[in-house]
Amino acid sequence: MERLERTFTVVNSLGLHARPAAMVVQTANRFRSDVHFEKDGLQINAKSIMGVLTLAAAKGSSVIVTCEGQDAAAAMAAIAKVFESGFGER
Amino acid sequence: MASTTLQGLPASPGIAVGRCWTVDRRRVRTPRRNIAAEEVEAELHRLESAIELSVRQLDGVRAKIQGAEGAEHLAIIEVHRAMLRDPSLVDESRRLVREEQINVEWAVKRTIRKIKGAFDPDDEFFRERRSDVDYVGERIVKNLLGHGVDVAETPPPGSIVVARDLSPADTALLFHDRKVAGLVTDAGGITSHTAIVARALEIPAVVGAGRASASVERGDWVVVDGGRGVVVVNPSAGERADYEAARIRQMEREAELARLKDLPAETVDGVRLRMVGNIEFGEEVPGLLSHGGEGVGLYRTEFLFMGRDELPTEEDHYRDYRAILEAMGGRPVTVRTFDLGGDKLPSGQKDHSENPALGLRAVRYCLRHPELFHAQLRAAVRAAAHGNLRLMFPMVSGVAEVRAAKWMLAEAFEEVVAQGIPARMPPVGIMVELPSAAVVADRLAQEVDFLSIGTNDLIQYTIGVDRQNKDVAYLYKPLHLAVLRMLKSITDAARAAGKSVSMCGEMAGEPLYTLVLLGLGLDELSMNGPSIPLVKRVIRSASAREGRELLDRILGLNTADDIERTVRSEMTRRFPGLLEGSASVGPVSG
Repeated sequence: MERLERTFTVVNSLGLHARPAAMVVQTANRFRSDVHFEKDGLQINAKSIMGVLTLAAAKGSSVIVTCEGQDAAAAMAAIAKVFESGFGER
Repeated sequence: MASTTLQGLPASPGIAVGRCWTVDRRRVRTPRRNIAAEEVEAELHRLESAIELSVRQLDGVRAKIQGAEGAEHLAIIEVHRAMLRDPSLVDESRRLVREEQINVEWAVKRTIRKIKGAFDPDDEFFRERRSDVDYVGERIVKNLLGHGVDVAETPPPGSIVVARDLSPADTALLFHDRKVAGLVTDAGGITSHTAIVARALEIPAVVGAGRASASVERGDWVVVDGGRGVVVVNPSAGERADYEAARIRQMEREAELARLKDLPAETVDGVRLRMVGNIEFGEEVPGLLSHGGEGVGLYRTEFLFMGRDELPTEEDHYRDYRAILEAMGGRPVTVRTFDLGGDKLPSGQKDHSENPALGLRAVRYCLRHPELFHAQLRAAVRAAAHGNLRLMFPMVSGVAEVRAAKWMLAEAFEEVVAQGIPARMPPVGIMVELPSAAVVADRLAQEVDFLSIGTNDLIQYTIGVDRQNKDVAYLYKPLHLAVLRMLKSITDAARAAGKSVSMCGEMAGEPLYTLVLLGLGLDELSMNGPSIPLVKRVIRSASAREGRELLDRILGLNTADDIERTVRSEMTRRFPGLLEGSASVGPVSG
């Protein structure tokens, strides 16, 4: 079992609002690994849109991502892509 | 029948007159009962089927609106779809059915309430998400009970939709083909999804209209005045005619301004100005272009700092500038280096000095923090390789500061080039917003490629008045003789040096001043996008000569009040109806 951890910064100006949250959840759900986000001490399941929305991460905030499971590396790579693209926004 | 007027919230401007089409969205009562142990499996199975049906319904909505003006709708439908499958909803509902042996409708209802508890009702963003969770829960419960969920009928073209409330799915289904003329809801705020969609589709809408849906029946005449938030049910023949006439006037006005979009801002005697926009975020670019913006005259980069804990990196800047340059497609984009300091500082820092307006701000702050400035300048020269970038330093007080800033720019450029990174040296300008700079504008013009007059600060510093201070705000007069003389000496200096001069303060976007600005001979006016069409209309029907004549005339007057009166009466005489709605003499920001 692999456990990976990385920190990302929210770069799009509107932050992790509803549409990006849906995108994150869709991505996380493609993998078997557990994916969790943590921000300001609050940890949530990234496969739950309700959870991701409660983070309400604004532009510039840091989110710690952990992936745990057999496909953790692939999951982390996919999540990284989503963050780095600014959720397809600016 | 007497007419009824209801006041709601102005959600989307415009006037619509049409027949009412009510959409019934009665809430369902959630049945509650305890179940026997042997019923549990059957209940769980019902839940699974209801969720599956709900997902299929949303897929259906998505398929229907696909390709239309769907982007806005699709995003929220995706969110609802993700919510339907959310473990916190599904697992908790299942747990309640199993452990507390309650029927599944009740379990869903309780779970929804619990999820909503995590969303702060006082926060606008979370308020919207709470209503999303409600819509999702309602959908599941209605499907469990076999009720219809989404609007099934299509209203006739030109209808005014009146509803207690609309789900995002309803909104998508009703409006995607743009055949509905107007919208009224009893509930909702101006930031609700329905209101946002109405604005995006330019459908006049009033939300939060209280008991609107209870006051109408299908087929009643309804007037929606979305700009004022007014709904008139069963208007008299006279009222209907008045609103109809107002609607037509408004459409003509819009059509006229829209026709102006692609026409040049050129006076009848052939003087051509460039109409550009002030922006803070890349998201403003489409709006600016839609109003006929020919470039960005002021991009306020300090907003990159707002709401974040760390300083933006060179990459942050570079990505940001490049995206704006590309979105502007070769049009000029004037990037103003950080106007930080005073009341604007990166989070965690505060200026405790006695007098921040006269303190370490803008280019002074940048020269004191070279590491921060260097990153921005590197990003600017790199981004300049991808478009028409111009660079501008704010709050310059004299020649030495320009030279210091230019020296740092040259250093950043050489460093980037030496690293083999594509770069271009952009044209360089300064903001003229301090009286000192205005007085030595002739010398400053020798140092740079362009001048840009920041009237807000120039007026404050010239008259020595803080316009936020209500005791002295009355002294803030854009047409003070000292301000006019200063503007004239700046524009004369630029012309003599053969350099272009623009204006990017609020004064530039206020049509009352347009003729005076024509008289000054500005090359470029930078304002908020929505102000462009009206100012352009004045320019296109005026001559630079009459502007110069008006300027000469007011330079001979003594008090700001006399000058203002003269300008106002001249503008009213020349452009009847133009100043309607711009209530006060002061500049209008938007």
